[in-house]
Amino acid sequence: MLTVENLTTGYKSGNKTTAVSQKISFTLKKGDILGIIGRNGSGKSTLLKTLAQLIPKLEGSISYDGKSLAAFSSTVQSQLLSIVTTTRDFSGILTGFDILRLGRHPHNGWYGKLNENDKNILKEVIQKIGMENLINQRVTKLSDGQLQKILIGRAMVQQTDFILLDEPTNHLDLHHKAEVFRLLKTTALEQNKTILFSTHEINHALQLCTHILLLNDGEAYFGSPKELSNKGVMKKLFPKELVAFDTENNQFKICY
Amino acid sequence: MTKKRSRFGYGLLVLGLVFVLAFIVNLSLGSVIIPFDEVLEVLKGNANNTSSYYILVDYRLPKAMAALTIGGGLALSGLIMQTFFRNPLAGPFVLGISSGASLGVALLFFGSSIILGPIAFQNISRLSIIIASSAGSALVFGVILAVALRLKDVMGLLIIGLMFGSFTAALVTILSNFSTAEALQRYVFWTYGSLGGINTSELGYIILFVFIGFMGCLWLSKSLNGLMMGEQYARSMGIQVGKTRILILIITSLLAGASTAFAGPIGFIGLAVPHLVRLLIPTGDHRILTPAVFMTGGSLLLLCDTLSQLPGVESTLPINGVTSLIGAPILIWLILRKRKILM
Repeated sequence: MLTVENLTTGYKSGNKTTAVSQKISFTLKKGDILGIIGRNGSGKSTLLKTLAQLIPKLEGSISYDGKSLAAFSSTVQSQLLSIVTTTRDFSGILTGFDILRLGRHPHNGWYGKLNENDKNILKEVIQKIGMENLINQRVTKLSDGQLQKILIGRAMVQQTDFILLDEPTNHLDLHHKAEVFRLLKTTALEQNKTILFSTHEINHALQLCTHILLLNDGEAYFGSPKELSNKGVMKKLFPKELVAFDTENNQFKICY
Repeated sequence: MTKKRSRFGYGLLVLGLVFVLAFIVNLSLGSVIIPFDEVLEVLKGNANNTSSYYILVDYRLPKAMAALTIGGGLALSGLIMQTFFRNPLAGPFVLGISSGASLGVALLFFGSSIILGPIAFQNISRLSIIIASSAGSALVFGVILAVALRLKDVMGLLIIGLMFGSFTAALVTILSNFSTAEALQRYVFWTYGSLGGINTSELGYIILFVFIGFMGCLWLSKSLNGLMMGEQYARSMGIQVGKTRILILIITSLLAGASTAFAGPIGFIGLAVPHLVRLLIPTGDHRILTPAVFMTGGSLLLLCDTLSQLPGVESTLPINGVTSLIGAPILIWLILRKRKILM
């Protein structure tokens, strides 16, 4: 169980701290899918990086099963949380398989040797993401959609309770968006993982997610899609003369 | 994937054979040609007290061992610098380690010729050159380490390293302006690099340092593999990036500092060999790259040393000139053939 209480995210440089979003509180259990929505600059990526312990939190607490996440060693943290970021600064010499096998890092020995169990996990994931034929291609030769599936596959190979994804469907066509969202759904349901992802695909998120975290003007709202819509929180997100929220169907619609 | 693994294994085997061949050819050729079978007999210990025995054991064997360890060590530090900075232009000397060494040696030569006069200058021993060079490297390393502990930005560190290089080079230029012609000439000869003067006790130190560096690279290979995906991913996979960064700096300084102290600033190998190897064995796996890069660096320096004193040629060419003369065309040809570098 992941519990976040009164979390303030942001950046520290020298003595100056810049808070991005404040008072974030939520609890997630196994099988939950959390969609983090909000406008550009609302702090979605900052929150994911803070949860993944890549940047320090400014205030509040993040705990796993009642124990502060920061108190775990970096190896244990990497066995609990995996992340798919939007950065693509990895080496072009790597193949899809090279990236997937790196996912076993937190589990294997100092030399990174794969045992039978590791190999079976890799095989299973390659099948699940449907990349059997392209797995030995260099990443530079893969399309955005194929690369995204490899990166999600790497997180699955890491076998963590929590998978964090920063805008996983960015730059993808509808076909690949659907594939990615379905992959997230089956991973959460079949493997009992908790998935947290940020997205601008609000309508798809409302359909897929068990919970929504809405970040708006430094404020955070958490609940099931229905709860948030009933509270009227959704309407705050966009100017209503431009994008209206259809409470009945739980969908946003552009006003023409 | 098993097919691919065995192809890399095959590549390693070929590099290993080239390595052994380069070693034997290097022992065999020189101002006197010693045939292969005689070299093997001496190595097996069956031909003591012959003239070949003395040439090999007293002179060529230490030089060949120095060439292979220094070549391998410089290439290795180039590899980890390129991976760490994720920059194809990085090499063992980007942090200014050899510039520090140059400054130390320049201070020794120019300082003693200016302050103590020509007689003291004549008496500068090899040991004092080694000490001056090591002290210069150590000084720069200390500053770089202090910077690295404060500055988390990898690219910033790279630029600062380059700036140290320029700064020390500028100091050397200004010092040389006030120095005597003899001191200047001696300094210039030092910058050519030389494997010839290394004696057995020095060789022991070189082998020790390079061995530590090699084992360090193997130990870090898992973290280095993770860093190929960038720092954020590496950290999310439990790799302690800060600790790895310090270890990489220590290993590079050890490898670059030791080889510069004993053989002068030998350039090119560290920058070029990792590219050469990745073009031949296209992998990002440092467990394969570490031995491959070590053997290729060793082979290349052995080859260059062989060519710098071919039989029948009276004078010995400066090793620093030969490495680029041989290595640059090979690398250019490979890049043009493969149409791009792999990083």
